[in-house]
Amino acid sequence: MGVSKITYFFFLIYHNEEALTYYLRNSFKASMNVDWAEKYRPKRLNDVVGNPTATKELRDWAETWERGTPKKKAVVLVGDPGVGKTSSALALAREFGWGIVELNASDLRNADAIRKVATSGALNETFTDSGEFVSTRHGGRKLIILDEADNIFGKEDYGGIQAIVMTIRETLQPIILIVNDYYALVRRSPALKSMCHTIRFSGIHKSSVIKLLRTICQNEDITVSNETLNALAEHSSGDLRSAINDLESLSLGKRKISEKDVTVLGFRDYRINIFKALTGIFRTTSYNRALESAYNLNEDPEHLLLWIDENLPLEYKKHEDLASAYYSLSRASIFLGRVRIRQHYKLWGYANDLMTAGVAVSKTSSMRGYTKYQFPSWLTKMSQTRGIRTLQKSLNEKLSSHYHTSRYVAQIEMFPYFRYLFENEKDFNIYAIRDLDLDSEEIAYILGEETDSPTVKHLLEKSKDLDKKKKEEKPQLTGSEKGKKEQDKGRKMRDTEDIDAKKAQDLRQKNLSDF
Amino acid sequence: MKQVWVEKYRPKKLDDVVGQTEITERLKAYAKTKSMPHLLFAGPAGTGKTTCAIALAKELFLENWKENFQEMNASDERGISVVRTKIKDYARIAPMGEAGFKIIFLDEADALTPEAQAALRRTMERYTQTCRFILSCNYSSKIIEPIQSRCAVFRFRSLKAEDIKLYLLRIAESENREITEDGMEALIYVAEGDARKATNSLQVAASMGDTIDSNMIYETASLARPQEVKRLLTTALGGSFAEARKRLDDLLITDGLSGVDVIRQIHRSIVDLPIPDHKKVQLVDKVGEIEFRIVEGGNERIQLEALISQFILAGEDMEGQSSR
Repeated sequence: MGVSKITYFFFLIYHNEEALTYYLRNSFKASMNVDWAEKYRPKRLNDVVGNPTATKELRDWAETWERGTPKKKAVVLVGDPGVGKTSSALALAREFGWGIVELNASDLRNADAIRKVATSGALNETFTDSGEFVSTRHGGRKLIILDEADNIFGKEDYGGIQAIVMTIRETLQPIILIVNDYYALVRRSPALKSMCHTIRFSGIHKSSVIKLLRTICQNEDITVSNETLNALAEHSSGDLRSAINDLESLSLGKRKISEKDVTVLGFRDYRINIFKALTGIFRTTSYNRALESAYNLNEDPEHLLLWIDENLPLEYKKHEDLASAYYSLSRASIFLGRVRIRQHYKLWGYANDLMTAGVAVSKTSSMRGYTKYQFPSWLTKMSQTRGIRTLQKSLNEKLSSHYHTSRYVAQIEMFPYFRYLFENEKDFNIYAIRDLDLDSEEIAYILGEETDSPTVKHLLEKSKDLDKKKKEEKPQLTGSEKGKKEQDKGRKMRDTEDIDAKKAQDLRQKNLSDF
Repeated sequence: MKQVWVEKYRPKKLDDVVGQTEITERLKAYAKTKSMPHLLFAGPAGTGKTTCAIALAKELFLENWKENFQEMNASDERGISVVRTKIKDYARIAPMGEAGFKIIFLDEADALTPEAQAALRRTMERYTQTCRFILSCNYSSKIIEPIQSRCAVFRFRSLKAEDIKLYLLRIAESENREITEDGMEALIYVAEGDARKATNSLQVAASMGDTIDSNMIYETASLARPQEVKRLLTTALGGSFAEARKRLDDLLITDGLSGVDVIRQIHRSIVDLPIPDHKKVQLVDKVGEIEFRIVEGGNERIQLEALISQFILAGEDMEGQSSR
């Protein structure tokens, strides 16, 4: 990869936004010579491997721009890494003769800059992807590409999503958002969903991957067997870019690749790079060398921090070293937090030094031997438990409103006892299900069972029987409460508020009629 | 009917509230005259603040109490926007039925930021015709002065042993259970003046048998979360970072606690740790620093790991001393 994000940050730190377009142009030029994934990027939409429907949709959308400002001024390209989203966007711009302003998640915090470009209409000049100078007065539009748009909307980046919505609303230029996780995007702003046309990209079929790899091999004069290509394609599981990267890294200094070579491929390229950086940081005590290790890394600082965090205890066995390194790491993390909160990107530099050099100089004895570095377990755990955490939250809300406590007290003080009684006290559970209006997922969570287990079903039914018996004695649930029951869990909080608002409105009307 | 006893036996009338006679007498006077100023309830958890607020509303508004009483928890939504929207929306609606005003009960008001409190103060003044506030907090010092000066302040005392005993016996009688003498002592010990804790322990113990003794009570104590935090700290003192980190992840991910939640519990657990007192003082300083860093925006897990590494260091020093 020609230019890393980290260098990119420093670029942003030292230069202003005008420099950005210039930088992008150069980064393009430079990488043309180095990297096969760049070198073999499709030039036209028809050259894009796989996803014919998606590319057609994309072209159709672009044509609406040629006829004026369309209704959907933005599209979202959704798909896994390496399936051609960015390539399609770039090819589109080339085909239509549009200039490109490409921004990654990290820059987005620079939302003002984008907005300026988006709303400035035909006044500014621009560069095409090949670096030619194009004046928009001569018909060229500027395609704004927001790559990794799902990463922008981290919890702390309050302004980001709003800025995007505003930009799309006001833009005079076409905008493409590129995301891996569509849900992460629209969850932050349902408005985006309706404002953008969504185009889905799926994984590239194995045969298409093989076909392209073979073309590259012919071009680069590399001998390779069908089995090898097959293994490479298999290894990529639909990620075309990674397949090209693998091919390139295996062919370094060789004219022939065997199938056996493929089996040594363990991790993706970028992981090999991060392993090098980690070794650099953990095995040196020099400020400068530690800093250099992370220079050419294609990882954003938040990620690098997690990698260091994960592997630090594997390397630093001496307790003082560990404590001292964690001191630096925790300081680095504060600076990253301040970047998010204050949107002040210069602080990134300090975080970077603290997490690399700070950790490096923390050791009093040098490390030897081989350490097998691990992927940040925090990320895996968090993504695996996303569903459970939503469940906990909704359960906590129910407990806290029923028992007149804060969610904290509900979770810490009430839940352990509640769960015990739910499991052990006869019939407690069926009344609790009714009184707290628990659904099958919540019951399953409390009991540690599967949602469709017989126990869960049985309890739900028994609890419904209670209601039937109750019906004769007591009036049934009110309409709004019933409605509440059926609502989608993820949206529960907002919905509850809506109901509150509705109630308030009803009350208000009632009051008016009283006067 | 089966339900959580904390709720089932929450005193319905002010007269039934235990251990806060001076307070309930004054509150009863409000109920009688059908008027009250803004109130500030300060005191530890489980001493009757929420119960008194609900009971007062019931006695003031009778059958209309639910329409005229709104409960909110400030610690769940601490921002200024809550005050601007939710509280204001409710405050501006006229009271229902005969009531001359309605009540907003804002629990854990000390969790509101000073800015939010300032906004709250203006709301309190503006809608005082239609709405009275009962603010509840653990420490009144965290409530800004202008609000304190607008409220009648009630200080709830930590419940005495005999108050808790009285309350628990009432429950036991109605549930047909017996509490042995040592069982009652154990209950009072684990409760630490908190009626909610005592009641939860009692109910879980009661599900194990009809006669409740101290063994059953101490068994219930293992359910409480602080035990998990204590295990985390002992693991760290024992020197295993990997193991301690696993426990930390359990708390943060599996149990879904926030970093600040964990910190709060670590703070409480320190005093009981098997380390010299001067070490405890040093560690408390670190704990405070770590909470500060989390609030400043640092990654929770990394901050807590940094804290764990400090505990490991403290544990190592101990070993060194004992072997010397």
